[in-house]
Amino acid sequence: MSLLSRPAGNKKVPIPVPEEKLKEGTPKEQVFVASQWQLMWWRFRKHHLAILGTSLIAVFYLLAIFCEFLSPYDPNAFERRYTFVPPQAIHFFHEGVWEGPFIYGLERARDPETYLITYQPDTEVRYPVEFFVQGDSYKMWGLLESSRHLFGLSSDVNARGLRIYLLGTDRLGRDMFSRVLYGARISLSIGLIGVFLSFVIGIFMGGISGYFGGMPDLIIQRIIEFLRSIPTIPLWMGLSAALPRDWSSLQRYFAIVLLLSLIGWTGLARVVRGRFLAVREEDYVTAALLQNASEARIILRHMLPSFFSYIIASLTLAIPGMILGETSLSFLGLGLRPPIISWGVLLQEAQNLQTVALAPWLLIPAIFVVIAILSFNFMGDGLRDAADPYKR
Amino acid sequence: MARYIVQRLLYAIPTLIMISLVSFAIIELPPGDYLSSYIAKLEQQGSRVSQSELEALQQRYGLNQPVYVRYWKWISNFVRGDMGMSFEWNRPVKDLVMERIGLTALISLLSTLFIWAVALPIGIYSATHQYSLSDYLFTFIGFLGVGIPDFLLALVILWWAWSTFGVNLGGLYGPEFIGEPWTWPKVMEVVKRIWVPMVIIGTAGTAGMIRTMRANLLDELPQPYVESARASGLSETETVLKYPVRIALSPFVSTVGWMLPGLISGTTIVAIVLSLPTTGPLLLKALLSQDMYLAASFIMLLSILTVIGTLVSDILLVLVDPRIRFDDVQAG
Amino acid sequence: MHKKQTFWRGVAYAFLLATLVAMLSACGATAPPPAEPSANDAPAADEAADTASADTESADTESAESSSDDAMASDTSAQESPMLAEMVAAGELPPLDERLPVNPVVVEVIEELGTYGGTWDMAVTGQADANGATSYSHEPWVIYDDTCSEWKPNLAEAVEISDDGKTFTFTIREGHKWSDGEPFTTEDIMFWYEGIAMNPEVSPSPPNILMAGGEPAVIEAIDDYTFSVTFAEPNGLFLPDLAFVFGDNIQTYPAHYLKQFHADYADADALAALVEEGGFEDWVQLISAKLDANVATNPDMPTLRAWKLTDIGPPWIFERNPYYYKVDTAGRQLPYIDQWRLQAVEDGQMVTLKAIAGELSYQARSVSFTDLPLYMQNQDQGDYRVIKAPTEHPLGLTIFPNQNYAGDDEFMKGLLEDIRFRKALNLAIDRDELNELIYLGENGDVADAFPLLADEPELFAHLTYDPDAAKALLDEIGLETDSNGMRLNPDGDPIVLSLDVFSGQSYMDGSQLVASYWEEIGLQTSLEEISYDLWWPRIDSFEYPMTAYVKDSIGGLARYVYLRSYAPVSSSSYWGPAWGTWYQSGGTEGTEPPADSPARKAQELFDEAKVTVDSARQLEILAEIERLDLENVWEVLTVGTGSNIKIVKNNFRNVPDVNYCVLYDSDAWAEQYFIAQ
Repeated sequence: MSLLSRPAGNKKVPIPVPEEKLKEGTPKEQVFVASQWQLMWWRFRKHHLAILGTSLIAVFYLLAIFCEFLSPYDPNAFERRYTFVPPQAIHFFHEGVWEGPFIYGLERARDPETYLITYQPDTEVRYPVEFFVQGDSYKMWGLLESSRHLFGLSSDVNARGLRIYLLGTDRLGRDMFSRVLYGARISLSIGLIGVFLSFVIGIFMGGISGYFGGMPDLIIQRIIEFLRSIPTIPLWMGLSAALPRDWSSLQRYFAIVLLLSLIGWTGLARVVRGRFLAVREEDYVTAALLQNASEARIILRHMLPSFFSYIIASLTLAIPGMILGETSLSFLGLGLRPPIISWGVLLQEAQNLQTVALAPWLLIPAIFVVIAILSFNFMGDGLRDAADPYKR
Repeated sequence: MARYIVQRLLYAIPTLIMISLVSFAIIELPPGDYLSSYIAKLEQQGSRVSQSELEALQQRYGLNQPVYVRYWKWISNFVRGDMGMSFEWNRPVKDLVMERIGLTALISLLSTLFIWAVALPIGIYSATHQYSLSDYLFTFIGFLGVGIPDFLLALVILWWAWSTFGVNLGGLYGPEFIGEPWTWPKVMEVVKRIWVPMVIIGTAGTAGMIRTMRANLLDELPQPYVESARASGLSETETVLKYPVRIALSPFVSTVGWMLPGLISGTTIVAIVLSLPTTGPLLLKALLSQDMYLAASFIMLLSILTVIGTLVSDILLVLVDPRIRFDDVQAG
Repeated sequence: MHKKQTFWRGVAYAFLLATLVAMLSACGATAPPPAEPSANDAPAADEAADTASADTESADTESAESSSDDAMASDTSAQESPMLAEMVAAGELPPLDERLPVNPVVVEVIEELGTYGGTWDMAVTGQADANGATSYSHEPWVIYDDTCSEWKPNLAEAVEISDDGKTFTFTIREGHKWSDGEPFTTEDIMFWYEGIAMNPEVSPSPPNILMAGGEPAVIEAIDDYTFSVTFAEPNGLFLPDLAFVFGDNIQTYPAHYLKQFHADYADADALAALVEEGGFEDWVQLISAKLDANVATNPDMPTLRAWKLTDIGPPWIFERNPYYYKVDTAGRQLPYIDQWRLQAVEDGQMVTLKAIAGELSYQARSVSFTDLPLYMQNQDQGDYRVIKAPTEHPLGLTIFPNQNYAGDDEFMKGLLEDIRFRKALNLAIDRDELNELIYLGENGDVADAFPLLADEPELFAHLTYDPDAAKALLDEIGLETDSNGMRLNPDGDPIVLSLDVFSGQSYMDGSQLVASYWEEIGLQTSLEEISYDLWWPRIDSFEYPMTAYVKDSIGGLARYVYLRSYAPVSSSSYWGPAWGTWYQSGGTEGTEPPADSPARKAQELFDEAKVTVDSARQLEILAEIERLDLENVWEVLTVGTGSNIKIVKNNFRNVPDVNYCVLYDSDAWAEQYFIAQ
């Protein structure tokens, strides 16, 4: 049950590229004095998709970090007069005349027979879209209290109920655009925190295993084998059911991340172990040993840096696994649950035929998931291609 | 070699004992038991369970016995090949699993073949045309499959097929074939439908495969032996296919062992949406309703297959790639 | 390379072969389907239906001779299904008059007399759902009319009640037979009573249905067709309980089949062999597995129902019971439909798709009201109709403040026990909006579910939307507010109500709405969805402050069988679980409500109702209990009852467009459904 894809790349060695390519555009001597990170950056720049992916990721994280300000509304505020509103178009010209950004009014109708709700734009009424408007109040990062939003309709219009729904609304009339942004915060951080934790555990365990060998290695390998032998879904269910009942949703959220990484570190540990096994035999390690360097120094100063970049690359590739894992768990009803908003929760709510058939815009969170995952993959690919510039 | 296998098998014993404890603990961890979820389910239907009925059920299922007694009963029977009875289905676990295992293996196998058929050529092409537009394009398509959540893709395909062609692609065959013998039209019907899970599960796996193949091959291409093959007058296609591809493939051979548990469990989410009677949904339901013996025996079965699969992988790795010595794999 | 490929091809073939073998053997194992009645071939029957109606007596022999000629299948003059007529002609089955009881039940059809044959397709999501679906063919001893106040015999030919209300004498129909042709007599009842119900090994304590005044009833067989049930006290609620589809029952178990599994009746060695063979620990486990109260796991057990399980699923197949005891008004044996088939799906969405695609004949389970627009839109394409049947049960989302809260938050405990607080929670809710958003505006008022209190509107005063009044009540309690208007607890922190929500989207959506209303009056709410398996342990601990589910509202006398929502009489009286547990356990567990408290009074009224024989008086008592419920604001009520959605193929007829009393989740008249040719 490979529900959570484990950190990839455990059998791959870095990719060599002919040296001529490497030197293109850079003077030869510069290459020799360049730091490892500079070399990586030069290589990385060549991977155009990786650059694109990285930029998109940066944008996504900005959206997630400032979601309170960027989203026009409270993601949990419902509006009964505007359920199932399709995404609204922003207009600039009214009857051929430039008016600046505005939206038309909406007329709602419900078919008494089929109960289907339909909306007609009311071109008589126009609401200008404004920037830095007053709206629902929020606490930025739980600290700064404010009610300014990047954009929205001016507040007197808000009071009458019409709102701007860039990505439409759901069955309770909640603004999908706001929900996607708030969801990004949770979904993107789950990946980061989870991967960071598996990173720490994985390096520690893999390092011990690979450096010392012998009995510690044997035991750790048994633990890995053991963890990998238990199907993920049951393991996940058992652990999450064992969480204390009186935890707040935030605590449960962190516990879930922790659980994800407790299961997810094994792949990385195998990679690290393999690397250690290989590097242990290198001349410079032997040299350090001969100089009576301490073990900690050898590991931290000499061995780890030699494949650090490579590990970062495989970590980047592990993040999309975590994001997807979160959506899958939500689908199974095991992950985050409303009222927490995550992409997985949004997709789970959209996982029904009614939505697919009659309100397809509720599937938009999937597009964000796809873009995020593609971007991370491209970035990770680029990083890995660039990871080992000294390779023959 | 024989010594190595024996040693590995011996190591597996404590692992399996641990797993059996954990499989059982997983069922025991959540508060309540099968009866509490049974009651809640009846509750939702509007039914009531009286105290006397409850006591009778507890006695019947042995749920009033202490945990260690139940564990011992279960594991001692399991070792003898008796996987116990499912509470919910009132049938032996073995029958329930066997009923679904064939289809599960078939779908897993087909999707694996699909992945290989798609990913290997793309991987080779991408490696030989690194950083070209088509490299980007193919990689993009491959990653797209990973990125789309498969449950959503399955549902959208179902709706699209129904709204466009008026066909409900759910299930293994249409309602007109239920209970019919396995005649040719029925087999064809299955063939007509089985591509859906095959492609959906397959798309999720291609990216990883493309990426690995591309990377492995990129490793091999600059090697001197490739140069010499090229120099000896082989065409470019032959040069690439004959040696580097072969070596780049070897890691895949070693993963065949890992497929073993996946063959009977790899399709849970897609199977739920497409309503395929595979083992995944059965296990999930058993876990949700705390159907103790069904869930525990199933987990145990999967775990054993994983352990065997790992062993097979490691042995294959040694056999296929002589560069690896036993020392390297001994602990892994 | 080449070698490897061969190896791979080998592996692939091996797997394919193994799979094929497995699949083939799997279908070989399930019994080959019996020769289908030709009525399935709809196209051929189309024309014949009109022309053949003049033909009468020859129906049996003719269809026996040529099974492909199903002209008679669509003829409403045939007295029995052609499928059975064929068997009679072949000598495999006795003729109809020997199979029917002397005095069969005559069923009024809903639309028209039906034609025989066909398969009723339904979809279920697994064994548990299949078990639940069998309530469609439930055969209670007595059934109630639409108003839930008058009963009439059903399985019983007659039931007589002694004047003191203690003795109930049941008459079984003479000539009534099990689905295997064995007679159904009082021997079967006594087997259940002596061997199952009162046998301490099989039933650690006697079933509730037999208990009255703390003692089990005595059942006596008077002759083959008559038995009496005598209670220690008058038992005024015995018959409603028997009629209730999900209630306890005087079980009808086929003694002739089950005795072989019972230590008191069977040969010890033969029984030991059966226990061994089935892998059971003792005979009690064996017979428990065979009893199969759900009738969807044991195809060997004879039944009295309209269809008998023949194949355990999936798909679960039920074939018509040739000895079924009901006929239509023209004296033709029911059921009309030959086969009832439960197809298995893995997920509720597939039920929706199958229904839309017209693959299901009749489906009400797993059909969600919120999908109504989708169903309505695809009616023509799927060739089905959507029946919106008003239902009397349950009420919409209800929130139960736990007035026996056993957690350690003393302040919260005080709030939950304060009637002003509960009133404020009620007053804060905008019921119109909630109805619109969660129930498509289709649900009724709460007051409609209390017909007995129709002329006391003041009881429903707290069910209006008046946030200002709610705030005033909170002020009166003395809850301070902070600068944002949020109410504070004595520590100076905002009050957070924690609400456990029963698993399901409409509960969760509704609760989120309610939480936002409460925020308006300064109360924060933290919601948690509780999955099935965790629900019961949670309720049982009494430690939840509030929980969101629905309030039962079955009408008439039947409300007594589900009184838990009105009085604390069960551990699932969510607003007073400790009191309910105390009552239910006879004082051994839970907490006794204070003497003279309304909760205790409600319990005493229930005690009184149980020993009251006069049903008019019982309704008076019920009104008093309901009054206590509303006066003391035991729950936070939102909206009234709504409709059930049934997806029915256009040729599937005789389906009622209301939900009848008691059988809220099922249909009592499934045997007269038919499939028009």
